[in-house]
Amino acid sequence: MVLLVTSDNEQFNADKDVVERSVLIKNMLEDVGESDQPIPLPNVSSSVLKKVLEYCEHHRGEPLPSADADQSQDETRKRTTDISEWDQKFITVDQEMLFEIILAANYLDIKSLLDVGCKTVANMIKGKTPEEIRKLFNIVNDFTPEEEAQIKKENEWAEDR
Amino acid sequence: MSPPPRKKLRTIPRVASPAPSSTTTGYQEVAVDKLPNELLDYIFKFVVNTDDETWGENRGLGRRALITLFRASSVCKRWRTLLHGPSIWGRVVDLDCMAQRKGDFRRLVMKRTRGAKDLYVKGDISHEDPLVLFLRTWTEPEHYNGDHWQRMRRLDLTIRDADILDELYALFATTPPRNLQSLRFIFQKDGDEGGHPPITFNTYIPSLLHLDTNALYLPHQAAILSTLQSLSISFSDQPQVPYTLVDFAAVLSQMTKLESLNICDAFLPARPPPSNSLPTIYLPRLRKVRITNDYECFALLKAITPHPECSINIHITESLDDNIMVLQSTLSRYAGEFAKVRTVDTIQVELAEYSIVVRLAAAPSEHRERTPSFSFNAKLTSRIHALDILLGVFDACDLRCVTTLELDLLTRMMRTRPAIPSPEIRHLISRLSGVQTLVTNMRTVKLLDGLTTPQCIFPSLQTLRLTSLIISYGDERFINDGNPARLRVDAKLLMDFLSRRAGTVHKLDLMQCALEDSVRFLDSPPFRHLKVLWKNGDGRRKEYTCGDGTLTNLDFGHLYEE
Repeated sequence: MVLLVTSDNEQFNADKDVVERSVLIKNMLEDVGESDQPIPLPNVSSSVLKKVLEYCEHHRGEPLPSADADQSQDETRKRTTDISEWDQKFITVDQEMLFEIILAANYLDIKSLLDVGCKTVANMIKGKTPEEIRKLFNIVNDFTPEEEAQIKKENEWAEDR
Repeated sequence: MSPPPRKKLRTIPRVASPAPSSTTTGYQEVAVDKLPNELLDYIFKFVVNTDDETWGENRGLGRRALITLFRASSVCKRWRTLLHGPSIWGRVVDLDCMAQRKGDFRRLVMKRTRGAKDLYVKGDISHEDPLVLFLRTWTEPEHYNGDHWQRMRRLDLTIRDADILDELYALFATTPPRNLQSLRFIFQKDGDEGGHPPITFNTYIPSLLHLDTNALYLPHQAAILSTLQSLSISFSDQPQVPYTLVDFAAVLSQMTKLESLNICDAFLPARPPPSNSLPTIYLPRLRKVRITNDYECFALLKAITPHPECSINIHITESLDDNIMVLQSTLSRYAGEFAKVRTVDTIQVELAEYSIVVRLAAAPSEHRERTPSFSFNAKLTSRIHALDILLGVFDACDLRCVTTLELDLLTRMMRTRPAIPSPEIRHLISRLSGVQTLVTNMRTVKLLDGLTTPQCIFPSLQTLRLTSLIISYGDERFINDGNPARLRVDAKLLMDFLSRRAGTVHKLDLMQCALEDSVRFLDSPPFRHLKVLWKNGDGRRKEYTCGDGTLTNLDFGHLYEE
């Protein structure tokens, strides 16, 4: 078992093969060897770590993606936005939590979880107008009127067929 | 213990995350703004995914991605700056989307790709498109200095007009795109219009690794053959099939770097079949073969010596009756070659009405992450019993070392009533005395139970992993509306199977089975020390060792109907 301590000082005990879905923690454990010392995770809160561990528990034992796979995917291989049913259910959370999970997955280096989070956000963006996207993510339109006019023209070209 | 320095950076740039907000109620700041640029950029790459099937029909993929890109870059200044990076635009050059009368949009998109080393270009071109002119300018030095043409990394063209096909091929012949790695060149005839005879592809593009075409014919002296890594050819819709088997064997023998081969209706039927006339073709890197509706390929397969872990996928939709023995002997040869270099450790057999999956795998080694395997996957239309004959593929292998078996048998495959496994299946099972882990389902367990000496099957079995508890869909299955009438689960059958092996089987893995939260396991004496693994309703992993005195709630001793 491995003891993890979150930013809000909560302690979590988890199986080694569960927490090792995180490449960051796996590397740390390899570097320090067997130890009872808790691992501090100053960038992850308890509510987020709970979700992350739930994900890792479900995907326990699955092969970890290799660094080579990342690179080849960036080249010619398919980058799909399909998300499995369980993962979809898992990631159905409020926006605050969704972005916290993405940040935690990035910090902890859990590529599959990072992809699930980023694909979810990508799917939220697809098919929406700029105004709908702003409303969805509460983003302020900070363009000047001149810039707005230029953008409008570009978008007319894009959608004019 | 403080976090040590990381050993290596990942492909995705990681950045230190800001500390999470102390409250989760309300949004003090816009949540998406917490994401650093690198992560937002990573998200946008999913947004413009041009291969994404979730977009619907293929013609619209790039168009929608482009429009999404335009819309997203109009959200705010930060997004606009991020989305004006050239690499993201280089990936979505969709000619179909750019087919407008006015050229403003084309120019804008191409301007935004400036600085991107590679272009991924996709197009669906019919006779009215102004795009041919546009594409032609790419090769002319006075327009962009031929830059766009030479930056093309991947080109995916569907052409619906015979004249345009000739014209576009001429562009390749006169100005080979030297950066092109992947070319898909497909002719799609419209309606009753006649096809187009294949064009001889003599152009040398040194960087080209992947070719997928139904319009180009590769002569055996083509220089490109020595560099290609994957080839996909299909002439099913074309009026003229260009290759004889002997021609194609000569082509293949030049393709020493070939890793993947996909053939569909590519050969003229040979009469009589040239069964032994083809020379041996050594393709040491070939790991993936897919054949669709080409019996002639069986002879070709027999001549090829691929990588020992090559996977072969055959899809035949016509009757195989005359050819099944040729197929069986061809595949047996591959299985035999596999067995020469690897000790078979795992086999997987799955027989269904029109398909058979045969997979051999060797033990994973510490030095290799992937399990080496030889697999054969076929979907066949044939007399059903003929499929069992294909199990003879395993005859060439020494199966005494097989410790893991995945087995899935379908009732309809069985020749008798009540159903018992065919002689071919029984013969295979009798050779698998060393199996320690059996991955199967209750339907197969029931069929195995029908054998005259069921206790002799798998005497070394230690772990039983069930993928489904359902035995049948009831006698009146698929009546009326096609829905299964009744799902039946039989705990007694499983108890009998296990109790005949009490003392040897020590693990029952039900992780993949759908179990109710309220079911109980029958904790009777023969099952002492049997470890049961399962998942409860919310997906949590549970574990119980029979006889350890703890109360548990796993029980499939019920029969339920739906």
